[in-house]
Amino acid sequence: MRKYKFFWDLIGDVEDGRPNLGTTLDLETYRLMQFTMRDVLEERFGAEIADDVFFNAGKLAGREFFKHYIAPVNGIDEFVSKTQAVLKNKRIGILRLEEAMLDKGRVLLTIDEDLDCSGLPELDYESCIYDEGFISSLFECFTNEKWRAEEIDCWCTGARTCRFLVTQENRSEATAQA
Amino acid sequence: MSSQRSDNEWIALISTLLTAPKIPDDLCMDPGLAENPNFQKLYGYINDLRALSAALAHGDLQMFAYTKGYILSNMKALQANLRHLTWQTKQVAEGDFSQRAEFLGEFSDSFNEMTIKLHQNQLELERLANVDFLTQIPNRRSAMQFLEQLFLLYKRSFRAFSIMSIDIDNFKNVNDTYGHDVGDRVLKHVSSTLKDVFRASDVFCRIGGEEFLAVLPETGLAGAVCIAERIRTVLEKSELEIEMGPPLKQTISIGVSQVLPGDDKYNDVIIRSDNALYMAKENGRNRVYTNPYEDVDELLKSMFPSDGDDKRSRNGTQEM
Ligand SMILES: [Zn+2]
Repeated sequence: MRKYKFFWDLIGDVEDGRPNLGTTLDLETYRLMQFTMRDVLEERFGAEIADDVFFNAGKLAGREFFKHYIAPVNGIDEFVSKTQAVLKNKRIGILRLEEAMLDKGRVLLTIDEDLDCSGLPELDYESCIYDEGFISSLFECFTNEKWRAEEIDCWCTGARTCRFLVTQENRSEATAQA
Repeated sequence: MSSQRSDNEWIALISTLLTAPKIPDDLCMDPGLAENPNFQKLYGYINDLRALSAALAHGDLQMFAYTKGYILSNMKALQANLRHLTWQTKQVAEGDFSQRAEFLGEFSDSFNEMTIKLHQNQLELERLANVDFLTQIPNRRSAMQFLEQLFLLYKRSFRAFSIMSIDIDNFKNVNDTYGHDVGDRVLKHVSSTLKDVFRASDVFCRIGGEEFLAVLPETGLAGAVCIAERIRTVLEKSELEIEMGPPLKQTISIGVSQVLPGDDKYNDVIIRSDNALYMAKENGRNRVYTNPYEDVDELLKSMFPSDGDDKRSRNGTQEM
């Protein structure tokens, strides 16, 4: 018996629910929850499982997000422009495509001012594991194929930019690099 | 160089790494440097800086450097933006005119202006491709595209439509008597007079010379004849002022047909309306004929039962 199985209605009616405080919230508060949760997960189960939990939570979120805000879309152009618009309007981040070779199973994109990591210093490791799951899901929902997003670089010049390589999973490495 | 360097020697070395067009070969051979991890880290960073800046300078956007640090970050940001702009340009080339660049200052303004103008040109070209230059009403191509869609719809869900073939009577005389300028004015006069009589859902086009075609969706033969009779009357009552003589009065002949279950292609409907037009011409012009033949007066009476004896009987359909 599941106690916490996700469904969209769990989010509640946020418009009616906070007549005085409104639907937006301070970014610090959001990160406080996310990073404390990650801290405890890591402490209890180790970094690997914590990452796995975050990746899969991102995937679940991406799936629900796609259903709720992006579908239906006709073709890559509409998928990209709609996703760009929703991510911007929801103030999640600024999505830019560098390469979109969907037919070759390879997409390269950057996210600026990301919800989870903008303002963080450059670290020696890439940290947007939740986003990796989230982006993977968006491509999976759009194509009905298995995709995997990996944060391959990030940099700060003030704002922080994360670069993700998204590849179709059942393709060989050679094809994906081509 | 020895591995025991003074501060000034270190400064000179780093300055060389940052500024020299080529890094001297013996630098890499120096065992003191090869074994110094701090130097190796800095050397790796500067190497990435050199490589990425050179790549950017030559427009190579394929090189990825993974080393962190402020200057490299700026170059990566520039590279990512240029790569995004490249993608946007491809999108525009494919006809996605919604792309707007938002970095690179004046260049972005120019890019956006170019995209907006390309889009306007594209729309104008599409319009021109579908409009008759002289009369500015839809042309043959546009009418045929519309007909093709209507015919598919008819085959799927039996939504009836009708067609009118319209021809200006004795147009050759106008050209011969008053010249082509007046001929052109007549064509404009006829199209501008008639186009206001049609309903918004009808497509009235010029298919060439003095020939016009009207496509009437969701309209059966009786309804089409009713409209045909209306446009015939409206034009008959109108005049075109000319300098060379009294105002010109122009009339038209019209052939009407309706799509039928046996039709294989929309052209079958046009052939029938053209045949009806031919009959209208043969039987005295300035009249409406249908094909398959129906008594036009009877059709009109069936639509307006109270409106019995009127001048429509001069339509001459009895002569068939
Ligand atoms: Zn990130």
